[in-house]
Amino acid sequence: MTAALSVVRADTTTVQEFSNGLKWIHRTVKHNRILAFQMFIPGGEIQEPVEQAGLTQLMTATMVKGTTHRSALDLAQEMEMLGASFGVDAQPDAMAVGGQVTVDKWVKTFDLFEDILLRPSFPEAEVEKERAALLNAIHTNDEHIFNVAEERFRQELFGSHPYGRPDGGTVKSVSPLTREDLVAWHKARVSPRGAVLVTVGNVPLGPFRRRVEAFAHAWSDSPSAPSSSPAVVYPTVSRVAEETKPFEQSYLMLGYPAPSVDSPRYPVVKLVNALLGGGMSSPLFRVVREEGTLAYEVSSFFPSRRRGSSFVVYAGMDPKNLGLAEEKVRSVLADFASRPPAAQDLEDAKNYIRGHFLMDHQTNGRLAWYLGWWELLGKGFAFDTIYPDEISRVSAEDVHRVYQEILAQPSVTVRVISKGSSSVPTP
Amino acid sequence: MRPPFLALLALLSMTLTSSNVQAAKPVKTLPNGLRTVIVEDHASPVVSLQIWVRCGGVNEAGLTSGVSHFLEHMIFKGTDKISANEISKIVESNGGSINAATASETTHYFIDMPSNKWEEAFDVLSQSVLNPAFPPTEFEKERRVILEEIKRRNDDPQSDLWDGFLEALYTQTPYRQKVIGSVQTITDMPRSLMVDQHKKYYVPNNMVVVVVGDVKKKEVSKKIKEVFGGLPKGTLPPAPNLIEPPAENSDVRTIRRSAKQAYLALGIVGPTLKDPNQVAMDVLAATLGGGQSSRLYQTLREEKRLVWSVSSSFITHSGSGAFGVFAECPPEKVRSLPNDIYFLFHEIEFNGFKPEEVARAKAQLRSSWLFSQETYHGQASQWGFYTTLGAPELVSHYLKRLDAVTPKALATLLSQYTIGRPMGGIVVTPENSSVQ
Repeated sequence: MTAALSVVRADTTTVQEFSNGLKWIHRTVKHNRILAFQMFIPGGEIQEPVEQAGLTQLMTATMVKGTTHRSALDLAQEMEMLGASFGVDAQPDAMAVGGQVTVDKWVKTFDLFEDILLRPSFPEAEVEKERAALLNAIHTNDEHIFNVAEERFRQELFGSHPYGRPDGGTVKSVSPLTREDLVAWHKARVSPRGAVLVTVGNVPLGPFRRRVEAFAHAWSDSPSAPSSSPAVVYPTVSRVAEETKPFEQSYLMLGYPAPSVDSPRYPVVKLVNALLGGGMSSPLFRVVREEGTLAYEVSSFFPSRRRGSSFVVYAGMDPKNLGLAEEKVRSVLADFASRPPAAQDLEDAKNYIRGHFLMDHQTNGRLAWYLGWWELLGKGFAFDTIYPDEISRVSAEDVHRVYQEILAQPSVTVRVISKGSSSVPTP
Repeated sequence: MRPPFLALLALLSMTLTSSNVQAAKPVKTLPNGLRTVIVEDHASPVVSLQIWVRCGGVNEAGLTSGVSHFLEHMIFKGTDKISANEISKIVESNGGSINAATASETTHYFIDMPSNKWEEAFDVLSQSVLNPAFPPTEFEKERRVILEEIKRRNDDPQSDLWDGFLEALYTQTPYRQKVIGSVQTITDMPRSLMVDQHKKYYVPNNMVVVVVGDVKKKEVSKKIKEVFGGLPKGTLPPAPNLIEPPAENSDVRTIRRSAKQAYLALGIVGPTLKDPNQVAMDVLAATLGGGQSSRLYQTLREEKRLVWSVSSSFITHSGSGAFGVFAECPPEKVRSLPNDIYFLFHEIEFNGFKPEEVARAKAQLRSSWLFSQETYHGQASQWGFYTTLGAPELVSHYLKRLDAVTPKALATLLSQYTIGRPMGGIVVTPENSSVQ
């Protein structure tokens, strides 16, 4: 019997932990009629053996294609009749199962959710269809210049670590996967130990809690706790890689190793990212696009990762501008390292992050996602209210110091060169 | 990932309303013809400010192709009083985002931000839209940026698919225009053309101001009157004819290009925004190809294994709309797809729709409508779109019309639109494939 270990209430949030390791976080939101639900299960892609890369993606895609109680068509018909949206996803650090529905349909929707998560049957024919679809997705990834650049960038920066693998695996790793592989992976990895279920909406809490408890009871503990994911080993020297592809544009991606989400430097790098590439007033946008007219899109990103991340600048441009655009990007990056940011610029960047954070919390779905994501990453769901304060506490000196540390590391440069254009000299 | 053009279809085919906005009936018209929509809601401390202009690809022809989109790029390049850098700085330093989009019939500009600085943001947005300086040096720089945007777009096979689809369906009306223009028209475009386009279309009687969020309705109304109330009405150019005659022949053209799979878009022109059948066309599209239990998905993907993905949508225009089926498949299978689709539609016409499949489609549309109302930006976009095209009442009537759609009515529409007339379309396929 899975027992509730503890129940904590803070404002409108209820947290319940079960003896099988599942944690349930519920937030009551009364201003709309939507119930959002989000389950994060730690691990997945990051724990795949290299020769089976894509296993988690194929497994999650097939989970919605039949259970011991329902066929793929049954599942689709029932979801659509409820007007529910439903998604199962493989991410680098977690598997995610989530969706939303109007609150009046929560009972039937939760039945479907439980069935898909706990009792997928992986019918042979459905595995074959989903494998074919995944192989096609791997092929068509090459149609998008950003994807080509980003995949190569991760490969160069993260090397043999799972973060460096292509999304969804490769033709070689996906082709031999069998139904038995999916069944075994589901048994080993879809475990309540460390899993986080977040629900957000105005549901009747008593009956809803009883249903979640029944769900937790039905989910038996994993035979083995999730194994720890490997540490990232970054390159020791800077690397430059070029891909020649039949695009009209060329593309540049330039980046550095960056801290994981549990590092104290995490909020500092979020500010570095906002200061350099946040919006149309950022120096990257102004210098490279607005003043230099060297690129249509130019920006930066810093993904939240559990084991180690990257700070990346990217730009897409006319092939003849690749060399000059790269020169400009590098000069912006170097200039930013020369001194701490001005007090007003830092305050503006903090406002930028806080404002976007606020706007991204408008929907129940995004709120559920944030609460679960912070919990999964070990920060705790309450970090959602702390994060803006952590941003506020970062000083100009913090930004200067951490940014210099980042730039002192070996970098990775990826150039996607338009087929037919001449190779571009390194600035 | 959902292809961008399908996301666009979803936006355009979305039809919306909500219980609170139904009650509020928030559309007002100033004496100079400016329409305003203000929805006060304090659930989140943010606001969406939007200005919509009824100007887009359909208001262009020949050498002017792309001018509306070029103009949209230039709006945030500064006024006589405020520079381009200041515009974005004011918004972003207050935690907001600023952007714009141009479509076939509309251009809209928006700022989404925390609500405490809404008034300052409103000044920035309205002054940028009403009084752009079009600095000549910025104009030349932006020309290069747009030429780059065209290249970026050309790298996406789905851009060819979308352009080809519209060209196949619309032979007489300007819905066939590429909103972004061409390398030639952008290269040759004089600044004076843009100034002229702004003068003609950016007049109060051709604009809609929408504010949704954590604001006081009275304060917003006062502000809008201060800024827009004194502007004189403009004399608008004659409206283009947007009613497309039914096609006489079925034509599915093939484009060969760098691609890894084949794409098909097949469709037919449909009813206008104000046609009583407009909502039923949404239901028809959702029933045929709106989800995984739909006829197209089940038949083409699950049973026959011809496609990787397939869906159908109805694209709402003020004039003739477009019903389309969109599929991605192995190149060797694309040739037979149009016939498979025709065959399937004939079969449905013969046997009719099942009540439960129509019920599922309606449930999906109902939920989509509700989910789309969750953000203030979503609400404002919906009000802006329908009010700009002259049908704000749809926002209040949509659900009622949805409820009224019957399987029999859908069968009639299927006969009338997809079987009774030849469908046209486009195939985009890899260069080395053997598709004829």
